[in-house]
Amino acid sequence: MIFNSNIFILFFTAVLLLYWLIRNNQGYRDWLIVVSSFIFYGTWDWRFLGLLIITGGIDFVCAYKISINPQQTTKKRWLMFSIVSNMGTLGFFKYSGFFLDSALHILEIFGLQSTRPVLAIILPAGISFYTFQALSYTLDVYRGHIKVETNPVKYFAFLTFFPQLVAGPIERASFLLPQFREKRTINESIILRGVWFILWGFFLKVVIADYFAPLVDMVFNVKHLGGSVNILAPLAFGGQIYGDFAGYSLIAIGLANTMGFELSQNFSHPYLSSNIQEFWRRWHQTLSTWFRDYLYIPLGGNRLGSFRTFFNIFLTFILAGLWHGANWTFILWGLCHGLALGCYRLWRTSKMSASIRIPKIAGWGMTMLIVGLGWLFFRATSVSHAWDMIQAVTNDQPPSWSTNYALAVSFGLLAVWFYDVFNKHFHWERVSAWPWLLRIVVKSILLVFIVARWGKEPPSFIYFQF
Amino acid sequence: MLHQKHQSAVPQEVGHVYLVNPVALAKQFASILLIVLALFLAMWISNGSGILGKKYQLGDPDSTIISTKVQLAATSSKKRIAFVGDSSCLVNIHIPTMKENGIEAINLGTLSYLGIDSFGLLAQRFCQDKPDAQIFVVLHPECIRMVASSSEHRKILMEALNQSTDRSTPFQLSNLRKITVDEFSSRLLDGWLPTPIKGQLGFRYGFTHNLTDEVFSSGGFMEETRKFDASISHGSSDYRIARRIQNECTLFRSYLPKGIKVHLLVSPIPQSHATRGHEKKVLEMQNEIGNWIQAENPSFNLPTVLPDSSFGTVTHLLPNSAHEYTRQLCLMLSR
Repeated sequence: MIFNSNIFILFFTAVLLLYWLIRNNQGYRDWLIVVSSFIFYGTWDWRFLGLLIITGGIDFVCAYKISINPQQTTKKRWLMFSIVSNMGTLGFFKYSGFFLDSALHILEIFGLQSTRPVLAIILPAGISFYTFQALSYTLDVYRGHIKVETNPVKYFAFLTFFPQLVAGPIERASFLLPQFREKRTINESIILRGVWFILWGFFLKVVIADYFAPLVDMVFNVKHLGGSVNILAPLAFGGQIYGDFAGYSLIAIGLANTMGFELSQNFSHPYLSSNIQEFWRRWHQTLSTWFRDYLYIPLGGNRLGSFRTFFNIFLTFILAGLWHGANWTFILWGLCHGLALGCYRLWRTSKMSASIRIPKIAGWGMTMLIVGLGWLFFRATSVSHAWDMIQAVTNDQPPSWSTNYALAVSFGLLAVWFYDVFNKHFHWERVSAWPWLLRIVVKSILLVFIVARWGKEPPSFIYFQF
Repeated sequence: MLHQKHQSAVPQEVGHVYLVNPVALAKQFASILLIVLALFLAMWISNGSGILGKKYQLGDPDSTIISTKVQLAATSSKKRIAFVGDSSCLVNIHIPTMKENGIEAINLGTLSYLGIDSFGLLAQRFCQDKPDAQIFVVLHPECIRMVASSSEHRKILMEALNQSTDRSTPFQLSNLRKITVDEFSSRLLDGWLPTPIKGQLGFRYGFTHNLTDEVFSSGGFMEETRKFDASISHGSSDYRIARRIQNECTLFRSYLPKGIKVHLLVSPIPQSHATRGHEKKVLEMQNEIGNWIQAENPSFNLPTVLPDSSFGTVTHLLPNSAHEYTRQLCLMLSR
């Protein structure tokens, strides 16, 4: 069940109706959220519901044990148990095939022939998202940032809250869990805000992302297309993944709003960033802050000198790349960003940066170039595929349709840029002060765009595969 | 245990409160719906007013092919020979080869889903003011045995044929999206914003605009880009004439002005698909269908079976083979 399908709209309408009916009982509300989340998740693959319950259950028990044990060593042991169970599950389902394949490949390089075992493990939907959310819960309980939750229904409502279960935003327990402990107030303002976000989310998905999708496929799915299409296709993918993921996040936030809950912002006009650090403050914010708080800072952050800072950034980004998928292309994507961010920090702390002033537009151009290169690795099916595309820019014949391709991609990128500019200047607080009629007209226009592009067979969201 | 302890305290607590004026909220949503409907109405009116660009038949490859062929039929005033038929005609009849051999012709081949009577409508458009025109009907055995044609494709053809009048589609509630936003965005954008073609065809032709341009410049010929693989192509090779064919053939002939010469060609199939006696079966088909469309005699002695390596799919020849097949046809025509 995906957000941009008719079945989800029916499902959500039914949930909202029941939600209204049981408004006088918090226990029933939590049960409704858990059951509807399980139904939502079960429609992907009901077999993995068990996995979700078991791994979530382990974290629930671990956090409880951490909270009741006064001894630090025992607390640490339970924390380690939680980390190992989460990472072990993630490692088995997501990375076992990749590491096994890579190890066998290395053996083959050294002339040691081996028979490759067939390891076909299905990736449970949203596993990277919910394991990180569960992990943040036990870590925060261990650090004393949050009170342990003793009610399993509330805990599972927090962990499996269906608007953000399969693709985030990755919520911190300290932010989301307390909302389940209290009475939620649903007023006109929060409903209208929710509807505003839902409409923009669907606009980003069905109008922007689905516009780019065939443009991306027609280059990435074919070999030996030469010329500028190899440069434009990764940029088009940048537009697609932004529309897709930011769209999903906005829909999730909007849906939660209509139920009285708040979720964290995940994107704030990233394509207007004039340096790579700014980009990472604006792109997939809940993941980057997760890595910052639970990996980069514990590693020492920027407190241990330039070399160690560079190394910490590098390692964090390689792991962030690996989080996205078990492929060397994601590691290269992480390397590309880690290197760029490391270099940027070195530059900023150097004496030269004080004397040389880089114009904002040049900074923006360089940032987009790095981000675009990163998207090439991110979307390519293998490292050799990415390398072939780089070489093809000059080596192969451009297709007869490259001019039209440039026109179509430029049009889409312009739309993305306009969206970011609009989003920067007209955030909800400002929009809510608009005259009533203007708000209604903008919503209606968005709805017309969505209706125009709503497909019978809706394409899935890219981040569901992670 | 944990759960029990907590449950005793929680059930009485209020889950959430609605501080909403339902009437005011309903008014907001009703206003959105009203404005959307007003926008739909405005789009429908402007579609018919002529203030926007003309209605394009682009958007997907099938519509693009059909509308391009209609345009080609209407604009080829100097040509006297036209090939009409299913997609085997579209990709097997190589017009540049015909030109090399001194034969001026156009390829109006489209898709098997259209049905033979629809091919007649295209031929009719081509034959306007051409009493000496000759029509070659090219059919593949797969098309001949197809049980039904597609009304959707027929509708696309009819719209393309009536485009000269360029009126907006009559108001129908069941077709609200198509007649408002779809047509509006088509008139507004399709003229200049290229639409990518999905799938295999897109890898070769890229955009509907490129497909139109290339099909136009090659006299209606379109390249097959796939490679035939007999191991994954398990269709039955029991070819026969579907019931609908006779009626469609009668209609086909009725669309053409009297005196127009019609010829019939049955396209080749891959060797691995051919059963014993395929040639005899083709001859029977030619006689029967030829009779219904009142085709000229004799039929052309072209190969009915070719090696698998010549094919992109069961029905489509690869460009090199299409060139060779057309060259053989030219030899027969010049005799």
